[in-house]
Amino acid sequence: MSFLKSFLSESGQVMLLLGNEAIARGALESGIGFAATYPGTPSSEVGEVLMKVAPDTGIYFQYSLNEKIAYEMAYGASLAGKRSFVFMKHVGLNVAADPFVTSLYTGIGAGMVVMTADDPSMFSSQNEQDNRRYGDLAHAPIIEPSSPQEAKDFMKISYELSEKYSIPVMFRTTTRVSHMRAPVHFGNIVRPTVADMKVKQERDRFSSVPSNARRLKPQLTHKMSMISSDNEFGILNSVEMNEGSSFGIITSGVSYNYVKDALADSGVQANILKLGLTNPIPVEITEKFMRQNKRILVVEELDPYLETKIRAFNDNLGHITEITGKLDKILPWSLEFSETAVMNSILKMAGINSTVNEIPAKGSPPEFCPGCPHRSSFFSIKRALKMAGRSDVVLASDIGCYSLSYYEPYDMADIILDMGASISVGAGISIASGKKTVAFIGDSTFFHSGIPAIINARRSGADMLVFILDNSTTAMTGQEPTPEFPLSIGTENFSGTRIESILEGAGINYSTVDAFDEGKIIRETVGSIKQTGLKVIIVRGPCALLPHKKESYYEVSPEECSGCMNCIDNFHCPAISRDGKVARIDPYECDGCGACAEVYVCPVKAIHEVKL
Amino acid sequence: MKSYRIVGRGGQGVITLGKVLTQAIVYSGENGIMSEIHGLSQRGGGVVTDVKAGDSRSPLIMTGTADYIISMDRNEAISNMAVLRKGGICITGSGAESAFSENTYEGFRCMEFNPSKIEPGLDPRGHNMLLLGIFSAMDPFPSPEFIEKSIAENFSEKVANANIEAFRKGRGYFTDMEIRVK
Repeated sequence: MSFLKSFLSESGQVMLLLGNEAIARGALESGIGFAATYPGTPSSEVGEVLMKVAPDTGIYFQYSLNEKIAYEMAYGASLAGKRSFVFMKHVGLNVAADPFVTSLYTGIGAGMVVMTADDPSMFSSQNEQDNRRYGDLAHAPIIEPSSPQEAKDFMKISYELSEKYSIPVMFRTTTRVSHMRAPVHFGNIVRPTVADMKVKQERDRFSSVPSNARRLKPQLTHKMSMISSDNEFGILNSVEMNEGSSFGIITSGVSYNYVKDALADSGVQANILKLGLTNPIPVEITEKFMRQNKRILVVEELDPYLETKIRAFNDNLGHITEITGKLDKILPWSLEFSETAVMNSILKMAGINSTVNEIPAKGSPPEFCPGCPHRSSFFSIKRALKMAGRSDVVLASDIGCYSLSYYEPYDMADIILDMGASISVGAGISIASGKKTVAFIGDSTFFHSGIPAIINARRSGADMLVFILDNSTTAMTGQEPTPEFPLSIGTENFSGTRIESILEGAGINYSTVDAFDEGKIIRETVGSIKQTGLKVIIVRGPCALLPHKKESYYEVSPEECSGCMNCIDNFHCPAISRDGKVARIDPYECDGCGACAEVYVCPVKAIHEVKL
Repeated sequence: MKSYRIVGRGGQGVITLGKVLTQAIVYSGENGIMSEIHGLSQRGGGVVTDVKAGDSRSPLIMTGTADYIISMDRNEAISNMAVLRKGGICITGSGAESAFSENTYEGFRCMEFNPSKIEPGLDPRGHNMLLLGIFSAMDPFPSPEFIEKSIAENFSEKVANANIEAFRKGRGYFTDMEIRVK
C-alpha cells in the first residue's frame, strides 16, 4: 500500500511512523486548516507529509520564505478562524521570535500550535539552544512528547489547550523524538472548519500598541497561572510509583525513555514523574510527587530548565525535598543523552560505585554528492582566487549543504554563523577592515534572509564579491521548492521570482554562470575579484538529488591517466577512487555531471563520457 | 529484547533497510522502534540507524549491547564495532575480491559479503535487501514471510518484487554456503 493511503487510513489503524510523521497525523486529527513552515532538520518531515496530504485533506500548506513569515501567516490564519500549525527547527524560532513573543500577549483566534524541533548534539545544526527557554521567556505553554504515539496524541491536546485559553502553544521535540520510528495508533481525521473572524471586534487585543500591551501582559501571566492548576490537561503528565522507594526522578521528552531503560537495566528502584506540560509546571501533581520523595533527580537534555523551576518551587514550599541534577553536575549540560549517561547518574544517586562507558562511533564525515554543483563551483572558485593571488581574502559562508565547503580539500569557509549572515558579516568585515571579502549564499538562504542583507551591503558601500549558489531547491532539508518555482497548491500560475530580477531591482551588478562550466567560473571570478565594489556572481546548476534522468556516466582511460590524482585530492568526488596508479570512476555512483572531465580537473583529458 | 545497528553511507539504503526490519518486527507482534538521522549528517557520510525489538524505549543502543551490526560498508561497520555485545554478529557488505570473507576487527568477528560477486547482475540499489536476506538466513526472527510483507509495504509496486527477489537471493546464498560448510 502506498504511504499516503496508509497514512490517511481511518481510526483504529496502526502504522509505523516517524515522530515527525506522527505530528503531521496529529495535526490532521486536530482539524488544522492551515500549516506553514520553513524547512529545517530535524523538523522537515512534518512538511514533507503535510505537503503531500494537503490536496486530499482540504488543508492549506506552504513553504514560506522564512520562519518569521511562516509564523505570521499561521497567526493570520488563526485570526481568520482556522486552526493553524507552524513548525520549524530550533534556530528557526530565533527568526520567528519577534511575532512569537508578542502573539502570546494578543492571544489568537482559532487554535494555534508552534512546533520547535531542538537538535541536541547538533547533528545538522550550528548550536543546540534549548527552546524551552523561549517558551518561558514568552509565557507560552510548552508541551513535550516522548514518543511518536505521544507526538500524535499531544497535538490534539495542544489545540484544546490553545483554544481554551486563546494562547499559542509551543510543541517541543528533540531530534530523537522527531526521528524515532514506532507504531502509532490512529484516531479520526477531522476536516478543517472555520470559526468566525473577530479581528474587527477585538482590535484592542490584536493591535499591540503600548496601551493595549500594558493591559494584555497581566492577562497573559494570569492565563499561565490558571493553566498550572488546570487538571483538564492532567493527561499530559504521569506518575509511576514504586512501593517502598523514596528516590524520585522528574523527567520529560526523550529523557523519559532513557530513564525507563536505565532503571530496568540497572535494577535501581525509583518513582517517576513524567511531565508532558513543562511550562507552566503543573503544580498539584508536582508538589505531591515532591512530598512523596526524599531525593529527586531531574533528568532532562540540554539546559537545567525544569530543574531550575523545580528548585524554585521547592524553595517556595519550604524545602520539602532534595533536588539534584545538572546544577550540581550529576548530569552534563552539553550534547544529547544516552541510556549510558542517564544510567550513570542513577547509579550515583543509588550509591552504587560503578559506571558504564559509552564508546561513540566515528562515522565518515558528510560530503558533496556525486553530481553536486557545489563541488565544481568551490573547486573552480578556489583555483581562481589562487590564480588572482587573492587566496588571503576572508570567505564568509552560510547555512546549507555548501557549509561542507569548510572541510578539506576545499577549505572555502572562514565564517559560518546563521542564515543570511554571509553577506552581512562579510559586509561588516569589509567596511571595518577596508578589505574585500567574499561571501557564499545558497538560493533558498538568499530568499530567507539574504535579500535585506545584500541591499544593506550595497547601501554600506561594502567591497564584496558575493556568490549566490543556486541549485534550484532547498537541498539540505529534502529538496523543498524555493520561490523561484511555483508551490504545488493553488499557485499554478505563479511564474516564480527570479534572483536576477531582485538584483536588478536593487541596482546590484551581477553575472550568471553555469556551475559545471569551470572555465567560465574561473574567468568570471578572476575578473570580478580585481574590481572594487559589490558584485554578485550567480552560479547556477541543479541539485543532484532533484529528479533527473542520468544520460551518461564518465570513465577514466587507464592508458591516458597520468596518475596525478588531482581529481581525487582536489576535486574530491565520492564516485572517483584510486585504483593502483590510476583513478577509477564508479559508473553507478557517477551522476554524469562531467565536471571532472574538464581540463582543470584532468589536465591530460583522460576522463571520457559514456552515453547510456 | 534484540537490537540491531544498521550502518552504511548516504545513498546506500540504510534507512530503508531499518524501516523494513522494524516493520517486520512489528508484524511479528513485537514492539519495534527505530532511530535515524537526517539532514546534513547524511550527505554522503556515515548513516547510523538503531533498531530495537522488545520492551526497550530508548532509541539508541548502548555500547556493548547490540546483537547485530548490519552494514552496507566495511569501514562504517568497523567504526561501529564497539556497539556489539560479546558474541554479537557483524554482517557487512564489502568490495572485496571474494564473495565471502571473514575478518576480526576490535576483537569482533565480521562476516563480509560482496553483493556484486554474489549477484553480479543485481542493481546496486538492491544490495541492502540482499544483505537483509543474508541476515535472515542466520536468524529466524523476524520470519522471512514478515520481512517479505514488509518489503512489499515499503517499496512501490514497481520495484517491490525486484527487492523481494534480492532478499531471497541473499537468503539462498547464505543457506547454501552453510550447507556446504557443514
